[in-house]
Amino acid sequence: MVTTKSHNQTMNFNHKLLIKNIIKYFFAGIIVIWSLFPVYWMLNNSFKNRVEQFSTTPTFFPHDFTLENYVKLFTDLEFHKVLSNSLIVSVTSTLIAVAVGALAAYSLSRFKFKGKWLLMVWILMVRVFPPVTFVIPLYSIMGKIHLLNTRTALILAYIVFNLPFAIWMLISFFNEVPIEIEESAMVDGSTHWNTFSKIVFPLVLPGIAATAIFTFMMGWNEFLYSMIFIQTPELTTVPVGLAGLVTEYLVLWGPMSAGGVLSVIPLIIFVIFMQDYLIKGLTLGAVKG
Amino acid sequence: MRKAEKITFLFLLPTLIILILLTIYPFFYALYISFREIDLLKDYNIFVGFKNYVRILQDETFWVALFNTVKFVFFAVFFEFILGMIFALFFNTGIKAIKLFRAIVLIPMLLPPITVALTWKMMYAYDTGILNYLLQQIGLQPVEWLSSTKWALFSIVFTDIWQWTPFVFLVVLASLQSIPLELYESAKVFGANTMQCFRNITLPLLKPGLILALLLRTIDTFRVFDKMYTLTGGGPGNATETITFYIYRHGFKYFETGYSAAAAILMVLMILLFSSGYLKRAISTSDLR
Repeated sequence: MVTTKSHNQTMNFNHKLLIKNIIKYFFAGIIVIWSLFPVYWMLNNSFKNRVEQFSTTPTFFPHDFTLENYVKLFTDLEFHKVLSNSLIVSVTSTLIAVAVGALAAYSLSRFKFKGKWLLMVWILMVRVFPPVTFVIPLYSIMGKIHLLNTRTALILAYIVFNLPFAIWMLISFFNEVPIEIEESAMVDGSTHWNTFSKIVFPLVLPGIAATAIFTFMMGWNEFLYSMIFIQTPELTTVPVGLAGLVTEYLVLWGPMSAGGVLSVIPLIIFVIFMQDYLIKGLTLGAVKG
Repeated sequence: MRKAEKITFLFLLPTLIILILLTIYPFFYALYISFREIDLLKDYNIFVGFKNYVRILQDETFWVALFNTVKFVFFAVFFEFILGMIFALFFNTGIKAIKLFRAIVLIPMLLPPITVALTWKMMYAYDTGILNYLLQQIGLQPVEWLSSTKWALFSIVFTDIWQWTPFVFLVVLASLQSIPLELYESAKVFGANTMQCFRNITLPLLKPGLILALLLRTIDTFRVFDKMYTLTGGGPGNATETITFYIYRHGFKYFETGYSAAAAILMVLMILLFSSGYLKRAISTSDLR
């Protein structure tokens, strides 16, 4: 009797657990579909021909699988130029912002000096100000020094927005390095520069990598400055190039979808290989706050 | 904490140069031209006092843009928080393969906003879009997502919710996972139920993360531009015109540089007003040591 009862209880328990799990994974499935559907839709459309794209009954898989959109994107629309512009602008601005930012963040994390508070507040303010505030004066300045319609103008503009972000993020990483490590190095006669470059820098390298990913992404995704500073299609970046494929008069959904798929590739790579750094960077400021 | 030395100054020098040349100078330059009427084509540049500001405040379109922006920020941030919290609480209940799920949920926020906007534009299309197709499949009427004054702003809000819910999700999940399990165990020992645990342990410990996420989402949503530009172009009429759009139009379509600068200064003041409470907190709890 007793054994049957407990047997029943276990059955009941297992049954409940099963139902609980089904509900759980059903809900997880909905979240996955919600997150991925638009991405899938873009991918799906990038392999459809023009007729299928404009059919009033949308197809969930391309009937006539075609690569013509990708071919058109690179031959007629010269998308490789756009991709390389984005790459040049994002990589250069990232390298400069992170290098300059690392030095500043180290100094702000370790030393006390006059005006430090003011500098920190200003750095935070640049993050808070909407980019459109700086677009008008920077446009005039770039015009005066003849930099409009050059990649340099964009690189400079992106440094402006990435630097405060990089400093803010890197300070936290430097703060995690115990100061005692440096002090013992200094006692052994290491110079400031050597302590920084040989001891502290390698320890914060993961943080620097995370910061670099973010600044790269900001440059890769940026639209407003790129649209205003660059006038020739030859020099344009990916977001503006893509937006240009869909205007009131001309809608190139096929090549746009193909370009959209390509614009996502660097980000997917980061998610796959750097998830932990990415998460750390994304939540750092917020969680520690 | 060590005293300032020459090295501090050297480490900070590049940052100071960049910030002074590319943020402080442009900011004061914007302030300066906001009191002037400038026509670059006719080389016309005179001091007009507060005329630009008065004209903005009297412009009906400005108030429409402001109202749209506030509506947009409120609804987008509100639903991003609700959904993000739900997702995070759900994924924190010991689900398997959490890393994979987390990576999938993150994808929307990593995509270029333009790619997101264009994909959704394709899905919102009246005749050929997937959304109306699905609505009709379940027996509902198709919706003019982007071309009716009733739906246009809502559609953009929806797209923004799709893209940025992952941010709130991530912050909440990271905060949840940093709460020591012993806290719940000892609360259970004292007879606390799930709801009491949530109210007295989870919520207070989530608060700092939530406040910073709220600050970041608010200021970032305030500056929204790409989505309006791509999805509706501010229309129909000015149903989706926002402040950034207003500044862009006056500065780069009508070439009213001074006027547009004045509007940008007003926008900065509004953001500071909106976020001063959070900002004070962010500064006081930041890693200044």
